Amino acid sequence: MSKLSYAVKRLAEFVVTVWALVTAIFFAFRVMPGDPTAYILSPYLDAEARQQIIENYGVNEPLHIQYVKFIQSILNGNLGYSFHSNEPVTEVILTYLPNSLVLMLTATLVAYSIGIMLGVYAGWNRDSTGEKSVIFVALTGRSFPAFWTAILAIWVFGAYLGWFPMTGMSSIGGGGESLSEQILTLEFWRHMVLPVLVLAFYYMGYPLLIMRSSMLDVVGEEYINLCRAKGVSERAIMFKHAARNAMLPTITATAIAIGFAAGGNVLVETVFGWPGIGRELVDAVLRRDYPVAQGIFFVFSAIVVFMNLVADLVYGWFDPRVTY
Amino acid sequence: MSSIFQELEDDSPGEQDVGSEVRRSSWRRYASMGRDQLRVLSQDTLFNVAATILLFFTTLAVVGPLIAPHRPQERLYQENGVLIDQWAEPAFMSSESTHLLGTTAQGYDIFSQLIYATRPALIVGFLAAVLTVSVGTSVGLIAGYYGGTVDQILMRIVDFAYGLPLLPTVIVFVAIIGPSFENIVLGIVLLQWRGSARVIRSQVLSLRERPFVKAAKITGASDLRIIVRHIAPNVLSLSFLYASFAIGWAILTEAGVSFLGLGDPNRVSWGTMLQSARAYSAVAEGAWWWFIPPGICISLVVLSGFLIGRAYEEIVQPELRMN
Amino acid sequence: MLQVNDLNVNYESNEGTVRAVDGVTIELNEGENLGIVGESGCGKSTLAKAILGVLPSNGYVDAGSIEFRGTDLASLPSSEQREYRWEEISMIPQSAMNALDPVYTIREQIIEAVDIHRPDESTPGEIVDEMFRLVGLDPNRADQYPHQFSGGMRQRAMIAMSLALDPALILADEPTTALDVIMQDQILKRISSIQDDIDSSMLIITHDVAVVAETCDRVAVMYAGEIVEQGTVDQIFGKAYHPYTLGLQNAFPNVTEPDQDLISIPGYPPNLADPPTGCRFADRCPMATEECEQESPSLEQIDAVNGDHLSACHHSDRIDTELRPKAEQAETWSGGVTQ
Repeated sequence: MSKLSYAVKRLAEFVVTVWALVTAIFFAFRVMPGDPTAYILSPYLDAEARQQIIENYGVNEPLHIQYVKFIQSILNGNLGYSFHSNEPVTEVILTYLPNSLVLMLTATLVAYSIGIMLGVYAGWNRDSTGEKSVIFVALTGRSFPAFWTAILAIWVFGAYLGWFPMTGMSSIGGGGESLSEQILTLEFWRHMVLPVLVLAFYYMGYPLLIMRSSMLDVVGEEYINLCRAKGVSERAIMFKHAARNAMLPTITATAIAIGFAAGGNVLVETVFGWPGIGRELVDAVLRRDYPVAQGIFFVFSAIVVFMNLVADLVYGWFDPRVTY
Repeated sequence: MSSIFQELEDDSPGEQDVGSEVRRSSWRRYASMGRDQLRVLSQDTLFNVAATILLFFTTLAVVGPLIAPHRPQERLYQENGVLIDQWAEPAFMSSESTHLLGTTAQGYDIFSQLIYATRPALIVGFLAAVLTVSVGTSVGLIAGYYGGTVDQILMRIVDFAYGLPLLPTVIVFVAIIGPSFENIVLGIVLLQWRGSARVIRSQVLSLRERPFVKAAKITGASDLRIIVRHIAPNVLSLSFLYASFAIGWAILTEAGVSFLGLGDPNRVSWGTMLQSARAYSAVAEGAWWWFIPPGICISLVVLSGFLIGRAYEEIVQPELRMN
Repeated sequence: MLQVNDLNVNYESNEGTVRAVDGVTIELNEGENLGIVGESGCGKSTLAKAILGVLPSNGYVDAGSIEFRGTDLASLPSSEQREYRWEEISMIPQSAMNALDPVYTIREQIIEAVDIHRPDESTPGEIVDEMFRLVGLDPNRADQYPHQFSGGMRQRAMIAMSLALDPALILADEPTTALDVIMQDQILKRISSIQDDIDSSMLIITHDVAVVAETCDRVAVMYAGEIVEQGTVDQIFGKAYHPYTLGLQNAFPNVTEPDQDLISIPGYPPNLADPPTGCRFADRCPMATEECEQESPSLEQIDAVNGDHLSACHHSDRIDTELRPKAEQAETWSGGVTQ
């Protein structure tokens, strides 16, 4: 199987998984205890509007017909309407998603570059004090609740030292512009610093530990010794050979880690008041705005599954032994 | 495998009786294996520190309510008996205060809350870990041993479970079913079993081909017997490893869910304490004695769990031990 | 060319200090092949690694010298040692599959060695091609990855790599052990023919006496970290003068007498973390006496006539009469000759 047909196969699997997710969400929201219509009908509607929606969604019809209508509406790009604001859910998502992506991507970049570097160092210098301290820091990053680290950061750097703004993506009075305009301002990046650092501190442990563990496996290999016999410098061995080989399992593990990222994202956005889909999910859940909650949850899952797909394809590019 | 793991092989291939005799000798083997492992572990300083911390908190969870000065949601009044003793500073900061860690905005004693909160934290942690790993190990054993369609189906379910992000799922789950610690545990277990399932399954796949398993099959041992007596003991260590990490993840998840306001409204956990602190803007008020201690407790317990897990990991992979 | 003097190499392990190489003295002259024979764990690989300076982190040279063309390699700092590696002394490791980095092509790996030692080399690719032709591989395949080669081809690629910088000395560590019999034969023939073309000397380390017989000029027999017998191939295979050597020869099939039972020497080598005070072979030796258990024999000429045939045995004078005639009988080894 060539690389192209493998990619196509994986893409097809992706679509199937997404479909499975959508189906699971459909059933989850409808077989839960309580009045099933509570998830579809906003409590704010009057009798006439309720009737309208009942017809549109076929709420009183058998489940399989509801399901068909549900899939149809999704394929039309209609994820429902917010109970709260009546905005289409897709609009809500499109408003908040870019903010989350900017945060997550920046934090991931910072966390993974630092984490992988430290992991290489820790794996290469086994049993040194440096290694032990690095591991300790990694484990601490994983042990502190992400929201608590956020609170600490705000307290120390925001309230106490006053270096950085404490909440939000923009200062009061400065909001209202679109993300693409804001992203070029210094103010925006000042607001980014604390959330990114907190998220990165939380993300960092995983790639660090995986990379270290991978390095330990590689370091004992015969080809590393042969490189020494060839006269290659220790530094070159560490990067060109050991790290290069150790990267492979790290890439796969990274994909799974992205799934964890969603959780941290939710907590950090909430504490910082960052207007992203994480915070929006929590708000929606608390105010019982099920269409929005459902839609955002779906987006999170889709991101996770997509990252798995990406990692799978990227791995093949790195490892010449992989045949499709 | 090193000697710590005596490969639990069947020495008497002709055994007919599956019952109590087998179970007794299996337990004895587990016990001796456990003792050996404990002996090696206790040589690691970090493990000892972590175990001590965990033991301390466990004791606190048990005897806590007996030694706490107040009940966690007991509204306390100032000396005059009229005004609620809100925002009181800790005793070491202000000579007037009788509260070790001060009080909350609602007049509850923080120190007492901290102690009372230990119980739900540890119960959620241990319960979720045990359930997660039990489900995961069982699934892994069945999928790995039987293979074929059973394996395919189970692994598809695992893949699906991996597609769902943990915290958002628990949040939505708890929001729908109702906020309580039991439901939080349920929500966590619903997804967390996926990790151990995958790992145990690959271990079983390799064990299945080992000579001692094939020998047992030839002598006519039933599937159940082979799984229980030959394969399970060899994956047990992996299960324990996962359990120790699962405790940490479970406690963090509960704290996160409670923090967001979806925790049990009638009970106090470290997460709900932090939620309350945030709701009353403790940071702005500078009441660090309110929002620092619960976080420290969570971090200590979780870190201890991870350190124990790491120490255990070092002996489960014996080749890492040798210099 | 290579003179190893009284070399001690130790490992630090959980059980204490392991004396893997103890007082070893060997010499290799220009243009000749020396074979080091011994069973697993006797220290021969450690010896090779010490010569190249690639001992693992818990290993170190405790005493002695490794003189290569007059310079003591063991006393050089590692940065200077690196200059000798591959350019003057190269290595053919035991398992080529594990010795090649899976994520780089063979060509890239050979050129890596060239670039380090000859950075001004303008056509490193041609060296690769030439070496490949020398070992009988198609140069076009040099751009492939190790996993795309078969076992025998990988070993040949490894040989090509070891020859790339025209080293004076090649250490071959079990060059044929990982191969099947047919492949072994081909590789050995290949090595022999190459040696006719190039100028390198070889130190061949193996537990297979047949390999040594085919490719070497001189042999040193190693046991439990020490050299127990040394001489030319004719001397050692003609008439060995150490009980261990005689035992080794029994363990290999003899073409002329195919019906003969193979005899292995009962027992195990001593624990090198706590070596015995006397002769290390004493408790497995059919000729051992009390003297053997108390005093360690030194490597000495067996007689004045054969000046270069050395043996470390208190009773080498009695081997002709007492052990050699009975060496091929199994009872000798389990029962003992004297006492």
